[in-house]
Amino acid sequence: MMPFGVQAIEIDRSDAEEDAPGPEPADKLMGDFVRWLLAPLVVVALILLTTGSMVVDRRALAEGGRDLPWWQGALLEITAPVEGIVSAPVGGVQWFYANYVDLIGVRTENRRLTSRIAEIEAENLQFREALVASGHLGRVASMRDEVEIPMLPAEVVGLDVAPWFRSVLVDRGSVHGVEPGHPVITHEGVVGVVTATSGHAAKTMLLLDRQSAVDALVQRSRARGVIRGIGRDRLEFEFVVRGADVVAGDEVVTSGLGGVYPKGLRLGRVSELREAGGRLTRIAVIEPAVDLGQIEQVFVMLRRGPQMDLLYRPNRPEEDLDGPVSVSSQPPLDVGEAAESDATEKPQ
Amino acid sequence: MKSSLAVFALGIAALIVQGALARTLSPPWCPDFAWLIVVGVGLRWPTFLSGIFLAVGLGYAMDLLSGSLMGQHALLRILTFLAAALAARQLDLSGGLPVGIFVFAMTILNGVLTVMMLSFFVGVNWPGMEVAGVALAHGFVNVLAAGPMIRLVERVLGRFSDEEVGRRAPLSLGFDRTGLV
Repeated sequence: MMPFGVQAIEIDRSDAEEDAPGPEPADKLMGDFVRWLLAPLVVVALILLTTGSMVVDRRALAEGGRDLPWWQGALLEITAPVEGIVSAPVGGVQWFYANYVDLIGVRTENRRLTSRIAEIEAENLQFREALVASGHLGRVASMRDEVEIPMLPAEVVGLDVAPWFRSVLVDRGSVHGVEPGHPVITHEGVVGVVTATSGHAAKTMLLLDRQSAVDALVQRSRARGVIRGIGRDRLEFEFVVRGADVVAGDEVVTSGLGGVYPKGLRLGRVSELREAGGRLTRIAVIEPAVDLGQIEQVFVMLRRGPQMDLLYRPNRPEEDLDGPVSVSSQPPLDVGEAAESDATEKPQ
Repeated sequence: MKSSLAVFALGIAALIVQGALARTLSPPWCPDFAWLIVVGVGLRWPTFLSGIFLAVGLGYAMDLLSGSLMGQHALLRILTFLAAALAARQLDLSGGLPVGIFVFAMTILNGVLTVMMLSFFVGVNWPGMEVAGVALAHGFVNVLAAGPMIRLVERVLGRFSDEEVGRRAPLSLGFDRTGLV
């Protein structure tokens, strides 16, 4: 048994040894260094990863879009149906509004449309007469039978969640035959183009998106130009001034030269003309043919333009260029002019 | 882990609600709930690494449901998370007004960066006034939605996390290592 004083001194010494900053083991120092370095390393790695993804995605988009990898596809597969269910009440309210509240004034609208139909029927009759007289009608009909474009009805289940982009999610994907680059339309006109697909969903870039550009022509004067999205509910048609005849009210349709859309699909109507800032070009503001903020049902044109196939699949056997086998298909709308164009673009 | 999964699920739910709301509201006037969750994670999350992975995950999910390039929102979410985490350490963001100002400023910055990235990667040009208009409107609605969304993150953390919830400020809270005041 030690005297009390000695014991106290020994305790004090051991405390002093614990508190003294002695040399730390190399392992501990290395561990601290790695821990200190880990957070910045992870941040840099994640920034590189995301930037790399953007570059890869940009390249894929330039080549007409991409099928999503399994993990991205899985997330889309889960969210697309759920989004459809969540949107249902909103859709119900819109349906009620459209079918009951909006009926005010429908009688006047009905009278106006009835007289317009009569005018169009008379006009149509004249055109048919002219076609029969020139012997073109039979050839047009046979061409349409040969190259009818299969179309797949799809439901819009979600709109873009960011204010800087304009895209929609539709409930048909690669298992239904939808591929990136397929045009999406309604009975009124062009909606956009499929940019990415999973098994049961597809992301469609709308015409309104700033990344969208479509080769177009004025139906009346055949003036050519490019239609671009400006992010809002209007489009811009940029055309070369020289020799171009564009006036307010003109219908603008796809030219078929971009390789994505067949010729003759309605894009919109010229609402005003503006100077483009340069002397060679002018800009026409276009009201889209389709109300792109309210779309619910669309049709995916299951055949991509043959020019697109020629551009991006140079080694494909020639017989495959006719496009995929019809997946669905009664075409729900008259695609006469589109079919005609597809026939003309087809390699002989 | 549970809290990370719960907040990720919350972020996906927020994206779905956003997608449904976008049917009725004009795009700039639709609050970015999923982005606000990332802000909430940046301000309140107790561990840095799980927080940043959560932010990237939610960013990629947003990229899937949006017309952006894959990785664009993920990159922006990293920056948002870092800015929020830094602000939580350096500033007193405990009140509603400071958080509102921070969210508004970050929304504007987020919009400007989005447009700059689009210009760089895609070559798309935006008129400055239009960017300002969209960003201001979006900032306004985000400020309105910020309080509830950040509180939601706090509640999920409180429900699932064993760790301390609250500001991660390295200020003394009145305790030392021995537990004495």
